[in-house]
Amino acid sequence: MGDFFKSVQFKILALLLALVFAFALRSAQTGTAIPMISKLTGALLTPAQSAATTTVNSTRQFFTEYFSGPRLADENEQLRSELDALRNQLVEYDRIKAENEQLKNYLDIKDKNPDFDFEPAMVIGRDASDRFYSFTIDKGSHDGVAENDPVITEAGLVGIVSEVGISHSKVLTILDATVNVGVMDSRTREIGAANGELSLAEEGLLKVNYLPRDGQAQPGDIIVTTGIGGLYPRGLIVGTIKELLSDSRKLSLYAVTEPPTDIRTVQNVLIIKYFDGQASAEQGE
Amino acid sequence: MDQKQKRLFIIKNIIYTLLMLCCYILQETPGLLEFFGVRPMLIIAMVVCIAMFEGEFFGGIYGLFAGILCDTAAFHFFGIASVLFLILGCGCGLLIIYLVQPNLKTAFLLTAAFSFVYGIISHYLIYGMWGYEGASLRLLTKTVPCAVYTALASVLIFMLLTRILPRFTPEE
Repeated sequence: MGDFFKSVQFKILALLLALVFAFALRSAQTGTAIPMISKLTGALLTPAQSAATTTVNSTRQFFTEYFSGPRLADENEQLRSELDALRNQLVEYDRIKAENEQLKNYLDIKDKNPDFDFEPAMVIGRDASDRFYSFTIDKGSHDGVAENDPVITEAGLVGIVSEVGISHSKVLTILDATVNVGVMDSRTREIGAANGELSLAEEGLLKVNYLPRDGQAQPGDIIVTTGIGGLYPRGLIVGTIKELLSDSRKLSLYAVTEPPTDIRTVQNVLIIKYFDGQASAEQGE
Repeated sequence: MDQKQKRLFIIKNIIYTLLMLCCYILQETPGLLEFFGVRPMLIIAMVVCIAMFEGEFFGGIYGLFAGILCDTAAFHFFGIASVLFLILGCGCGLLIIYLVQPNLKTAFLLTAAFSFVYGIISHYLIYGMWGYEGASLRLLTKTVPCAVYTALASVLIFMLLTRILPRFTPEE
């Protein structure tokens, strides 16, 4: 083994190790990735990741339809004699209705918030080792996405853009312990701060801290963003209070909150590129 | 190295690189290969197998490549995977040369050990040292199953490489 440590190959590996270690120290100090490497790799791999995700989603949909086919066929057979024509109409009606509902939800957000500038995006990657269900989306600086842009679904807030590549971006979810969102109880107007916790993230839940001990908040209340700080627009739904508990120092209460969307499996999102009162990336930091 | 050997060497490394990228894309695709919320780190299995077949130098180089890919996708600071994968890839190559036989069992055990060591160190650096609540439980419910799942995946990757590689290994 001694020969290896004297070889040129070992010196090359040691040099590379020192170089990467220096990058790691810099990254740890600045708290960001190495933009050049990250952007280059992201730009090269995003199309492949996007294609893989689309293929997997289509395959899953095919098999779901395939396996549920016989059951639907039997059911259809029983009803066909009396309801055939009507049923066909209903199926068509339901499909259009569901589509309309989905589009209406997006339009509703737009109607309620005419200042919002949206960019729809697809989740194309989830890191196998990440514990807060953060993900990568298929839109980047080329599409006008910027760091600290809020990410939502039609149901509510999902997270925030943490890193932007040319054709991809990374999104930290509100389940992440490093993401803090200023929130309030929509009924009682009590203010708190929402952030993730490792054990709760596993169940797709988050915490709303600093609720007053003598407050009126109760399970079932809806938590929305306050808009303070300019990172998130005011009034976005963060979740519904599931449970109210006392914090470890017994100074305030915290609410275990369930987001309106299952963030662990979300596939399509909207990025809010602009809203009135938005802080710039520098201000956000 | 004559012309033919050089050509085979280049083709083999192109195959390694493409397989590495495939493994990366498969492991990062949402919902794919997921089993009870655990996904394998195929890229680790790939590094171990390359280190077994090519020795410590290429184990280290491909370890670095795999680490950079993982760091690009990860949400922690850049470099943890690159540093660890380089060291562990090189270490696997050295173990194969001096201590153990390059066979299926070794691939399984080395991949499990590699994933477990990487899992523990990265878990400590990303979660443990910052005092997140429930961090130790996550180690048991995620890191250990992930290491086992990755080791199982290494069996397939090892078998795939043993089928492919003889075509690109020059005859003595």
